[in-house]
Amino acid sequence: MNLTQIQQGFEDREFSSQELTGQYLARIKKFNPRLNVFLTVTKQLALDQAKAADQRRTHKKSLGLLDGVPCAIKDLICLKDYPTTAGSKILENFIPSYDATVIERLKAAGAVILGKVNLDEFAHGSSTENSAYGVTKNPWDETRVPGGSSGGSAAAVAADLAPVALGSDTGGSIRQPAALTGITGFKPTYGAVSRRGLIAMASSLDQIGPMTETAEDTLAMMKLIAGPDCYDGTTINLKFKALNSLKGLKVGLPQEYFTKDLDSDIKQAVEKAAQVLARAGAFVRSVSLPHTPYALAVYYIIQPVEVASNLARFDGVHFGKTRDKLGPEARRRIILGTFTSSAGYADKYYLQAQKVRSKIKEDYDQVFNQVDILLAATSPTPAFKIGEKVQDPLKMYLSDVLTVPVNLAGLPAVSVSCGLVKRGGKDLPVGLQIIGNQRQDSLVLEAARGYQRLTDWHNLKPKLN
Amino acid sequence: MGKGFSSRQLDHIIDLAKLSLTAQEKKRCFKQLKDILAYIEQLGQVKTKDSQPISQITGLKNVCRQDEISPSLASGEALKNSSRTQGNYFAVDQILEEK
Repeated sequence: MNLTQIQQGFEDREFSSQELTGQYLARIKKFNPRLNVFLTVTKQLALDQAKAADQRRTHKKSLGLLDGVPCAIKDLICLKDYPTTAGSKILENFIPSYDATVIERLKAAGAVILGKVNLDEFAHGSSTENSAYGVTKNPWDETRVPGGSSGGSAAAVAADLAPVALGSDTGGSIRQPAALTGITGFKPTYGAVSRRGLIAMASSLDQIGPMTETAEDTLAMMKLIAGPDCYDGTTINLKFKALNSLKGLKVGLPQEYFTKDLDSDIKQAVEKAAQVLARAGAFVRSVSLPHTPYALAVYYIIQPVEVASNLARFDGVHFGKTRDKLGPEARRRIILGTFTSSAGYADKYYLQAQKVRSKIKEDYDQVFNQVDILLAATSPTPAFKIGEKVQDPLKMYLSDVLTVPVNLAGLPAVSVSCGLVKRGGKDLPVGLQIIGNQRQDSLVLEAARGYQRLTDWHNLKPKLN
Repeated sequence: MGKGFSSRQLDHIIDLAKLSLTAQEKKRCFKQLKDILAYIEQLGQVKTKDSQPISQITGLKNVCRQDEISPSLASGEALKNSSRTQGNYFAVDQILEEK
């Protein structure tokens, strides 16, 4: 159910927030042991919040589109008085003393918090297999990963365990799991959403974003959670502007994003999506982002350096357990980041990566002088099998090749479902990525909304028995 | 292969990063890191003589606030997640010794 349907249901007295919340809690109880989506279910909190929402509605004091609506929160975001684990044993039973800014804003809007959902430990991963609390299963095929690192958030929405969720994206961690589970996942412009209360992975790349069934719901959530925050000096102000027609929209297909490494049926699905937009009056053309082949290398220098710095705070003194409780991928990235920023190597690796990063940004600046948005696939493959890539870190890193350049340039990008492909006899969703220039979050989401008005892919859900 | 990355380097880095790995973990980690570094080497091909490094991607500069005291985390709250406290303090291992 999307937000409009939920609010209509409340209006028509089909169900109350308490009843709806109860239904989601029952579904979580039924499916969580199998899918491993929720790490903590905040049942009493949810029911109390739902009760308050119903009371507000009775007194005609409803707070808006999110009032009384259940949400799932990636366990990398601090929720006061409840465990926030970051998917790691080092923060097992860590209880934050404050709410993240996004949580404060959701609570102020009347949202109902169902609980905290699974992720790759410290957001390090593209499959949720790096969670210290077990992998989450993809609801479309339970032998496959839901993607990562926001795999729990994606699976929650795909399996109807929550209508909306929050995830975070540093190199694709909202968009890629959204693509692998057939939902809508949005990474805002860097700074559009406050990172205060988000356990930091790579501070120049991280963003929190909504994961929902539709671009319309994503816009509703963004209007609530986005905006300057005095606690996060990197926040910026966004303006939202409706787009009534796709006519005249200039769309670019970056040729470097359509290589032989892309599964051919995924390429076809993305090309079909471009045709949908063209038929609606958009102008579609090929463009070039020449430094694309270097983006993954730039990312796997800059991100681990920032990770090594951010994870230095986990020393067991102020909070958390001792460093031996960090998982293997976290340690791998700390070691890589420490090396490439160490004396004698920092110029060759880190400084060079920073310079190539500016070239990647320049490529996008050039292209956005020619077009309004870019289209590409989100992931080169559909959901892969559990265990298929986890033994080979470099192979896993290559899952992010289409998403990381966007984080390096600080751009807004959404993944929406654009088709189904068959693997092992099962239908698996394909994600279309729409990328805009910095601060064009509204345009990106309006283009996605336009696409979803013309197609039905976002209405498909996996059958769970 | 990642030039300059030896087993001895790995030991030094592990020490700098305040981590500890078993011999088996070190062996596996070393191989994986060499592969990753070999992949990263390609960045050396990019001509960056006239490029500036970038890290603040949205162009913000000198974001400040007034130097005013406002409510902050109470000390009880701040201490509650620590496994070792003494009064209003975090307790740590001694690092300075008298000679």
